[in-house]
Amino acid sequence: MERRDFSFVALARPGAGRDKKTWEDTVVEQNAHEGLIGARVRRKEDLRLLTGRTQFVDDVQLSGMLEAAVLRSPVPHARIVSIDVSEALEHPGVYAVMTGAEVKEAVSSPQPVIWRMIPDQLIPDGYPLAVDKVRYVGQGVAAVAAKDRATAEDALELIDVEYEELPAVASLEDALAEDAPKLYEDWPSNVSGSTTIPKGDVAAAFADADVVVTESFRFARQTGAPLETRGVVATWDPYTSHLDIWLSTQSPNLARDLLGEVLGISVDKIRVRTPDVGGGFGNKFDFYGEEIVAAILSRSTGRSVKLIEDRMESFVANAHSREQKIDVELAATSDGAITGLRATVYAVLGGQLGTVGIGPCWTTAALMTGPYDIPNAELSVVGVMTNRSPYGSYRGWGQPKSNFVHERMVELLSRRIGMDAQEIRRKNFVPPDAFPYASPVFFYDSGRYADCLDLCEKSVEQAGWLERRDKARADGTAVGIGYSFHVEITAFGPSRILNMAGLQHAGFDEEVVRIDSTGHVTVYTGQSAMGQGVQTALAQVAAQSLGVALDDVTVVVGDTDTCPYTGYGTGASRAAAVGGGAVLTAATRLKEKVLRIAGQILEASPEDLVVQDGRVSVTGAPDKSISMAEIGDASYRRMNGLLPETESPTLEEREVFDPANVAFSYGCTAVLTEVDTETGEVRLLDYLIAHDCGTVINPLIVDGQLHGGAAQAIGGALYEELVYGDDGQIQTTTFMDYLIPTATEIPPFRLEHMATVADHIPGGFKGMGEGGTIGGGAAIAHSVEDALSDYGVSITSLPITPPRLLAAMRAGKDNG
Amino acid sequence: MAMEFLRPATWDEALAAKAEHPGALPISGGTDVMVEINFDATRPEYLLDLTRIEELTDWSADGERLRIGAGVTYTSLIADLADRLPGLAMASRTVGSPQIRNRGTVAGNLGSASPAGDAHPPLLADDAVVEAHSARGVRHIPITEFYTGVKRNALEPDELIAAVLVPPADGPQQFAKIGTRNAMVISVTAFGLALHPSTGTVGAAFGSAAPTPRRATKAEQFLAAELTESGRWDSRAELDPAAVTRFGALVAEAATPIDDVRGTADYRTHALSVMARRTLVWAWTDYRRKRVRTCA
Amino acid sequence: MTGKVTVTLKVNGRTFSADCEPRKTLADFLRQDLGFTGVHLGCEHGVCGACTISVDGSTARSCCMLAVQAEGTEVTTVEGLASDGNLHPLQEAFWKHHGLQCGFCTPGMLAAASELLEDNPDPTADEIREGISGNLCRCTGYQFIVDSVQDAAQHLRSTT
Repeated sequence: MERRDFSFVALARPGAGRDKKTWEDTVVEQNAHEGLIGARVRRKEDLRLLTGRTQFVDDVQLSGMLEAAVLRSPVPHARIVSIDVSEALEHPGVYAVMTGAEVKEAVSSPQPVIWRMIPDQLIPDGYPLAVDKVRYVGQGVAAVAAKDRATAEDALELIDVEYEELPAVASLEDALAEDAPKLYEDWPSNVSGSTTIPKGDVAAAFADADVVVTESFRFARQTGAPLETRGVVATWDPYTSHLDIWLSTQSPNLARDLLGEVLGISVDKIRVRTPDVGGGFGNKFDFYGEEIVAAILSRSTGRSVKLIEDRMESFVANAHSREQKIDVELAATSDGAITGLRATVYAVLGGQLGTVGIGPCWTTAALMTGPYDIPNAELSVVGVMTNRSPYGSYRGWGQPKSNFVHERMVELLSRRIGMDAQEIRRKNFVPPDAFPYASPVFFYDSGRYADCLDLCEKSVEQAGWLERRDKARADGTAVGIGYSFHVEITAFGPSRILNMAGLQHAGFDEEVVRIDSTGHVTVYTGQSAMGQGVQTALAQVAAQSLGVALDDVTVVVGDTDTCPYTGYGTGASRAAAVGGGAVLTAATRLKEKVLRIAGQILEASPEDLVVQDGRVSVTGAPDKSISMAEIGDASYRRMNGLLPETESPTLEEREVFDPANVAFSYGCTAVLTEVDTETGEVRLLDYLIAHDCGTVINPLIVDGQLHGGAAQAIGGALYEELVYGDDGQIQTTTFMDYLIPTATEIPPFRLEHMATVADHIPGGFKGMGEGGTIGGGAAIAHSVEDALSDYGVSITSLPITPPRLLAAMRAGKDNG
Repeated sequence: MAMEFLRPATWDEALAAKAEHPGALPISGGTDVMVEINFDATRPEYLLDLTRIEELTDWSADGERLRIGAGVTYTSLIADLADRLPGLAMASRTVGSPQIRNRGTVAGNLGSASPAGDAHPPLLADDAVVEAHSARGVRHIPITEFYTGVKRNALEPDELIAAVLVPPADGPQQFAKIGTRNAMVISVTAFGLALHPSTGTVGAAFGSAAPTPRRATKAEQFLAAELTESGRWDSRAELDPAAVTRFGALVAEAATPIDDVRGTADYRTHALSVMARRTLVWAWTDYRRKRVRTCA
Repeated sequence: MTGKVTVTLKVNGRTFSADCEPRKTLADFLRQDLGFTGVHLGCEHGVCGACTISVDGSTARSCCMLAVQAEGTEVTTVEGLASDGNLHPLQEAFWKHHGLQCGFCTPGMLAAASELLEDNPDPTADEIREGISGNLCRCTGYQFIVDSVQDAAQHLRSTT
């Protein structure tokens, strides 16, 4: 294997010169035989990010631009009696003040709910700002556009809102109580809808079971909390009706369509530009009222309007996720075969339905069987409205909960029947020869689960964890090892199936690959760059498919006027698989045209040509060659005598790829953990993931995604919780209260890879952006239980905070 | 809204400004003050910036005590005084993050008087004195009289903290803190311990478990008596495990914590007893080890 | 209304002077008035560290400083880390080791790491984690940042 080491050159002293050539060598590590797909390549995105030259949405400055701020409800549940904005309007520097009622007048339809899995679900009309009633703390009530943000905030204080407070439905229990106050008075209860996913004969499975294991799980509210808060800069020309909008979104095409739908304008008049996005994690997939508010304020003032949420706002105005209660029953034989699974997922929704509605909670139910072949299942989801912020997307999208449930149930079954949990996993895995495998909802495309579990266990042994645990225990320290096995749905499509499932949007991806007159390549993509390295990954695919150098490929993102359409958006781990597959096909087709042109010029048959490093040459006659630049020139400028008469000018291909199926990645997580048995503090000592996501495009990026995903799993398992009081007030609106892990909480990570390709995706790619997040919680819980095996602790809720763990230890002892 | 910024170049100017504008909010590192301003939790008419006054950034020996100027940052305290004030240095190391320690000061902690301030337990355990200045003169406020309520202190409206006076350690000192996260965290609860072999006394104090930082007086008296009566100050014999447990229980008894998002009252009480026991064992081990060194 | 105050300071070696309201933070002043948009605001309450810059040689969170407090100081932002078109070893190392994803925390992370290596040229992984503990990163899980800082440290040691 050829290894091109990357080295530092003469950089220590400021001003010292360096050999620029060395730094342009972007490949950190590459297998010479396999080309750029699979190479550990430095990212194309990084130079601008490392030098402070990026443009995030708050860096956008337009001439005459105003800044807006939103007045938010201080109460969880109230009727708006009156709003007096007269004083705010008079405040110097204020250009416009808008109330919820005025915004409702200005829009054509309510805020869209694009996931409608439950046909008879009650979906309330929600508007960008509250109209008659507020239903959660932080719900927007009015907005101001002023000369700057400080002035806008000053003016908010001059708005007088009279609220008639109503009793708050502060929790799931409150909402389901018999005499519960109702969020929507014309509904029979606070339940928005429910549905059940059936498979096989679950009643028979439970009737015949040797063992039935029952448990109830609880997951706290959490949020993605990207470091960059959400923001928008809108310019809506009142004369031409063109809306030009900068938006920190993961889904520019979806946003454009939804802007058109809500504002009642055709999409040709809407341009959505996405600057660099400072982290998305699903939060920025969803479509929010603020983009509408900014647009309407822009139209009414005739100015560009910037609306950037601050961190405290982000904790109430961004999608909240994860909060669920899940009641589960598992049926099994005494020798560990799981025969049935019955569960009810209570989705603790907010005061309004967000863009994705009940989607993530439905996914929890739909994927609750995980990697296991469970013949009989009955998986229900019940959506319950509460006076909390709306529920929405966060990395993992329901799967961290389904994973926690099936993995915890395996461990509980293991305790019950005295059989090793890993043996139960192996016994119930969907076997390699059963693919494609019909799970309760989705078809799993491929997998070698037992191999992956073996790889993880072997790596744990090699890492010396067993000895570390033994030694620690001998010293009286509580150290444990925990495992979990996860599956991850990726390459989200196909469009028609998604539509059938209730999605009001598509799942295909369109990519454009162009060679220009200098022989360089530009890929135009509708995917969004939010830190996941999509520009590098797509460039690698294009470069290898075309036979050009990586440095000769540019990937353009973030402008619906110039970039093609991607269905859904950059979420659901789609970009690499669906986007990469489309780029591969388009580039391959483009290469055929290149070869036809080169064949004519070199007087050779295209089959006898090879392309390497941007040069087309005749096999066996390397001196007979032509550069990509010459072909580019012949295709755009000086074509006479060079470009075949049968070929049209320009070099461009466009591919629309609607995958025939989703693709399932999977992995096994292991965690080595120490617990302070007196304080309940948990410290992760080491962390390992064995993982399979099909063909890897860039191992560096894949590793980074797994690390980052795992860090979010750790935050979710141990630290993060959006706390609401009994009064419906949120108590965690700063980073001092909502505890994102720092470097000192996160252990070192070890990764192991295997590759089972997705046959139905060009290139065999699978997505993998969420796997790290899905499997972490259960593995951490199991490691804690293992460390506290003397106490008989059973962990049924996340996060595992020190007070809760101490309480669980006491309860375990009492039971034991 | 309008906010006037006062930037005195000398200490006298600062005191004059504070006398003229008693509502002026002093700011140095900005750790607490800027957060309040950014959150709009406070809107002082005047901000009194003390960062230009160089004399505040000095520390010196002042008779039997060390005089730490109000502008001495945690970073310099850790670098310069860790040997003489180990308890305070340990607490300083747990403050926020490197950036915060570069600018934050012990005096800032005192000014905010948050029950969760990390510097309070060691200052209480070590009998610190706050040196307050005003145009009227100088006042020395014993630390035990300084904290008057949640985020309230004994300063008069025209007074500024000039320095804090702390006796150098005459015995082992320890500090422990529980926060759900390791860095950048407001303590769930914190505990400081100072053993004073020269006077046969003990300092024990905690934060985040009462409306103010507080000394655990009964626990101090119990332990001092136990060590004196058993002759252990001199013998340096192993501690009696029952005494350690009792000490932990007495510290916990002194607490009157509340439930909040960071932790429950029960947990805080429990954690305090654990920290008290642990720090005592660490400190005593340290004390015993020191003898070995001096004998050798 | 209170009038504006003139603030004069050096940023990345160049002297700037501009008027601002006393309540304006140094972060906003650098971003909005002087155009140093590499200073990022992630929380405005001193926790996330994205706004970390160097003030008179030591790191500070520019959201927790007022612009007027920076009068007469020398400030370095991420824009001043590279010189003459040459990346700083930390920037090179972050690039090589994938020490950034969305890049929002990166300017502050580089500032913190840079100070750490000045104080401690040969830090252990744990010391690096402690050194960057005032800088939240939501993307990377920190492992590759630790690797980056360690590699940069090694490089700096070998060339000075």
